[in-house]
Amino acid sequence: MDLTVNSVARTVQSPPLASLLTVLREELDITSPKAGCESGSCGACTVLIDGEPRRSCLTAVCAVDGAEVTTVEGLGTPEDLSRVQQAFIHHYAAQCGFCTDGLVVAATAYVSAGGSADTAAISDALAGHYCRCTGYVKIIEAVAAVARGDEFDIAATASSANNTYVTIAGAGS
Amino acid sequence: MTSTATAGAAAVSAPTSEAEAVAAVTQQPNATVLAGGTLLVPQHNLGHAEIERVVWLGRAGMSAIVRSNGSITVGAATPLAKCAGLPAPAGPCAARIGDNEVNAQATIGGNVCSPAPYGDMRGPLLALGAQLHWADADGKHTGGVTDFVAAGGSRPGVLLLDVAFAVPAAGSFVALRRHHTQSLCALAVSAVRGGDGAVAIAATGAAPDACRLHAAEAVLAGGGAIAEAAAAAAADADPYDDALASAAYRRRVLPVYVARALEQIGE
Repeated sequence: MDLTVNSVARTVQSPPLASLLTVLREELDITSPKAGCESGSCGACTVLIDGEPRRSCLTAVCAVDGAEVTTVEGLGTPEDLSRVQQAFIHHYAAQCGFCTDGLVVAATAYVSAGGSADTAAISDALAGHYCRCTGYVKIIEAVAAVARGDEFDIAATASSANNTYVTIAGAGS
Repeated sequence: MTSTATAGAAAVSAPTSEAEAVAAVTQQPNATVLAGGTLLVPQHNLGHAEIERVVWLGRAGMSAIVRSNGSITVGAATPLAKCAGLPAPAGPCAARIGDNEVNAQATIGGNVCSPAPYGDMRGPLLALGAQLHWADADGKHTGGVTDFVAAGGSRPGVLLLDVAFAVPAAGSFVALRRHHTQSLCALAVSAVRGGDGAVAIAATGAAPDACRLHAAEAVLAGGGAIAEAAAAAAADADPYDDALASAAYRRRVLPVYVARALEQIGE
């Protein structure tokens, strides 16, 4: 089976009923999609398939033969983060980070489709994604900021006097 | 043209038309249908389902919604998200199944083929008096939801083709939401008033499988009030305990939801 993953053509050898999640993580070594519940309930494995957010744990790899798959690795690089990634940093929207990749993918689809900054609309769009750190407020704030068109200065965020993490880390150094 | 890939334990064919799909499912032994895959894929990958041969419907079409002369025909491989615009109770039921991603991938046929707690669409289709069309090794068949289930519609070798129903004069769908059940539905009631004025009521979660509430319908047909019809609903119910709700809770909630569903169709 042939598919395009993060703009790179790949041929995969996994069995046709293997989940796309398994193929990405174990055959292609792309590990941003997380194996959380592996039954479609948690959202941590979400990827874009031809631009639409889908659960990679529920998707047989034979069903994406010829498709274009995008994971967080394809959205930005450490040197050139996507706006959603920048917003998640700026608004401290990641805690343990396990759900973050799926949320970033779903949020990218939401804002790409012209989603608004309305809190209820964002909550509805991300309803299938569970954050067990319960950091939903900051996640929604981050997505709303992207929808509003906010600009983010990540360097300034990291050095901010209001940055609790940096302050605590600095106190210990 | 059908393409076939074989690797590991399961062989997968990808028919490119309904006719090819019928042939692939009915002429191969133990052919399992794969549509959205939201139930089958995890069952297989977690080792809960032994699958020998798969027919994937992703390229077979079978996903059109056709409206003609007051009736609607929905292809079995139509995603639930696309069914959300169907008249009540079918549309509102389809819209609330799963989260956004699952709703866009899962199909109406896969849902109808799945037993509780997944077969949400069986109730609305029962209330609508929907006719299902399916194929097996003996040919093509037509029947209601109950006929399809009794014929073992979800077993390998059977392909659900489409569901068809008349546009109702009025319809409603009332579903119980409990946060701990995620998007799984503990109890839902569908009510339909047909073009002839007769009211049909069906429930999912009131019995181990979706069921019509004939006693409640008879009360309405006899001129009874909503409260009387709601009280009569228990006659057709067989409440059960599961992780979503207790039998006692289902028994208590059913008449409340029957009354709400009937109020929404203006009874």
